[in-house]
Amino acid sequence: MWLEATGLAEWVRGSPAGYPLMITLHAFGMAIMVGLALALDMRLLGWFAGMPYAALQRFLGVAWIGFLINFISGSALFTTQAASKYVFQPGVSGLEFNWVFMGKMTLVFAGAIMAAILQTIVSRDSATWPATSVPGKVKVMAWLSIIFWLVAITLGRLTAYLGA
Amino acid sequence: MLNAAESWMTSTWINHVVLGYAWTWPTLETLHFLGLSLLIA
Repeated sequence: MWLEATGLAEWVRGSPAGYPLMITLHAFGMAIMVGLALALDMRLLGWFAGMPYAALQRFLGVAWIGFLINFISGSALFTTQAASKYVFQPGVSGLEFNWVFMGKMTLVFAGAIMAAILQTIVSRDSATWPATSVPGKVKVMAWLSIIFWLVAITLGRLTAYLGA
Repeated sequence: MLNAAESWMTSTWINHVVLGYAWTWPTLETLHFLGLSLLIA
């Protein structure tokens, strides 16, 4: 695949600093995005009820900086083995579609979309909510967000161990 | 001294559990990443 032959892919794959730098940035970006998303989810589910929603709002922009770091570093890592590991991977009968990685990516984008929706709802409606209770629909979305991120992290780790 | 510490660590039951089963390492690494996220939060 042409992506694997680009200068970026060769730098990440071949230079001493390329892969370690990108994988470190990927961990930082994940921790920032997922950590802050989980903090918002937990607050919406009633934990840390003493914390005002407005205080959380200040951190939500930082979460998207984490997502941007993840997008850039993840794209760089993807180029190194785009077709030979991430989209397809060696299996018993040749190259097989990599359901684990594709599942991870689907859940990452689902989690990001859910975070954006929840942030919009909190920004627009939270002033009218009591401190200890949010609408049931929002709680369901917060639980879905937690599930999306937890399964995405799990599948992301499994990507490193399943297949070649 | 480091060699002695390494020898002791590799002789513990934890080492056997972590390296002896295919799923232990990925599971612990997933929990490690989740802990890192919660630490940032």
